[in-house]
Amino acid sequence: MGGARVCAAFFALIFAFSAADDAVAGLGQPGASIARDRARMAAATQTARTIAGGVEHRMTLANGTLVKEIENANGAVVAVAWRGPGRPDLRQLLGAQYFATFQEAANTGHGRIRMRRAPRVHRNDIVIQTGGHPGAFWGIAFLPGQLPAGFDPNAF
Amino acid sequence: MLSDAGGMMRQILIVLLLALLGACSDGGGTTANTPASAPTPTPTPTSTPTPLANFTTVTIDAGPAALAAGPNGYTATNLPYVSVTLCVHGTQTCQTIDHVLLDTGSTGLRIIKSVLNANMLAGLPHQTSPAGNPVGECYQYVDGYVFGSVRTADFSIGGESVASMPFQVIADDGAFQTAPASCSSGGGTALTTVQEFGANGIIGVGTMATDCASACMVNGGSGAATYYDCPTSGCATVIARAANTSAPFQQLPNPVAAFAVNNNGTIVSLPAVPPTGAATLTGTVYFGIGTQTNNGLGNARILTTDSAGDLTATYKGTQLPNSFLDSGSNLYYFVDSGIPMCTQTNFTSFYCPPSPLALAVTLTGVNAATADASFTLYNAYTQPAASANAIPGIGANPNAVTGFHAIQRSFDFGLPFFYGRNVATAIEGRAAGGIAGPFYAF
Repeated sequence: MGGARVCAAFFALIFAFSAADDAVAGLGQPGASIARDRARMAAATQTARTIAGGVEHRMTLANGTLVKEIENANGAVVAVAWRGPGRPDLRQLLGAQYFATFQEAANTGHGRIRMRRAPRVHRNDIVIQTGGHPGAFWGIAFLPGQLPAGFDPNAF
Repeated sequence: MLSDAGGMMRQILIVLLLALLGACSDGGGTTANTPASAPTPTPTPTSTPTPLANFTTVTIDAGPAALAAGPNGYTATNLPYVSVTLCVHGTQTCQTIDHVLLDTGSTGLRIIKSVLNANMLAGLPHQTSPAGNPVGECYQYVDGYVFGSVRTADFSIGGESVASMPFQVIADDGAFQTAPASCSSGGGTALTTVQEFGANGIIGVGTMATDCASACMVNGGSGAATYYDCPTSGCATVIARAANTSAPFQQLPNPVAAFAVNNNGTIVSLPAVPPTGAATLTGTVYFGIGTQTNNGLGNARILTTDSAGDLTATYKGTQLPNSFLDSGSNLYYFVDSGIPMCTQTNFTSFYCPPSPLALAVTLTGVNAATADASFTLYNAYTQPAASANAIPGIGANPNAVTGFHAIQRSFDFGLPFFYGRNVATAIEGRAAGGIAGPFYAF
């Protein structure tokens, strides 16, 4: 366990210094990128199971955060979700392009009654919803046009 | 002080009368304020009891002046503020800071650097890492994150105090000028100014005893918080910090958990607000639950939470397992595709029912206890008066999404839920009313 953590931390360091990493990880990328997510976030455990129209990958991070990624029949990562005490590395998990989309949503204007709520994205090509409070955050992001048939975001 | 038998009997009599009064009340929640109405017992020669000081005033108003400044100026809505006093340890160099957000949904005291005066900034010592460098911290909120230094100060609020308590100086300078990538990659807005933050600081008095618990107790570990070693070159290495609620502190404690007494939680007691709202509203936060004559639970329902501080809300037949009571959320945040959202500019995702709408919600604790949390939802655009800063019964769809894509797992009971109630928040591992925290009671 301790050895695995040191090993995972070593890989995390390697990827932290790899500038090209962000560009090839996240939503829309080939399923092979999931291994990089796992290393970057120093996942303690990981499993995969076949689901209708794809593969569901699960990893548990050192602090107990559960991260799930869906790979569709074409081998692309088309949905991610997380639940844990802190938000995971979303730049890694969403990929640089969709992380930028998420950050733009965080900075949109306000009216007379200001909201204190999570950034969210709802477009035809990308949906990102997050929520919770410090110590208990959750979120989901997916590419609506590329989901396996019958995929239910709420069940995921 | 209360050594004579007559005084003791009088105290016991008052406690009994208060308990009876609590048992007879309608659940509207006035037990925290009842001492003034207690009947006067037969006069006996007594010593004067020491006045209780385990409370402070909570004010909901337009917010600190900095909010209204410039082209992005605004006034606060449903943000409960308290004042805190910080002193350089063991000196008379002190500063009282108003408009600090009272937040039952987070943990730890955090002050924006620009609010602290030059003497305080020069005098407040930094917490040091095992490497001998200052400690930095990143902390996540649902809408963004704060980054800054961890310093210590003699802290007091109402009549309670903690010596050399660690707190965060948000947007401190020097090595803390730039948030590390591992902090900003969690996403959301970098909250660095009073205007962005909506307050001069925040005092998190939620269910957690420290702000990161076990998640930060290993090197490289993080939860809502991440702690850094910060040499002059900047903060990069993530360090382990112990979760102590008394000296020697490492993580930021829940300030209430660090008090010598009255340290098992809080009761936030706010008056009801008319549907059009109020420009200013004043209430009280009591420290301790069932520890004094002014902070009894009365007939409140106790709903224990999971370790994350969450309850299950049942709303229109759907169970929402990540629900919570949060004085730091300024609205009811929930998903209901059947309620029209406002169409006016800048009111996207607020709910605008055509007439006041009664909504039935039940909350269930981990202990299987249930409590009615029903409320009336008002039109967020037409109902509040223009001058209102305390507005009841307004809500929003947190993700502005309806239908198939809408994720339904949470009902966030923000400050409007607290109006006209006493809401107790008990800290993990601390018992109150004979039940072990964490729990909420109302």
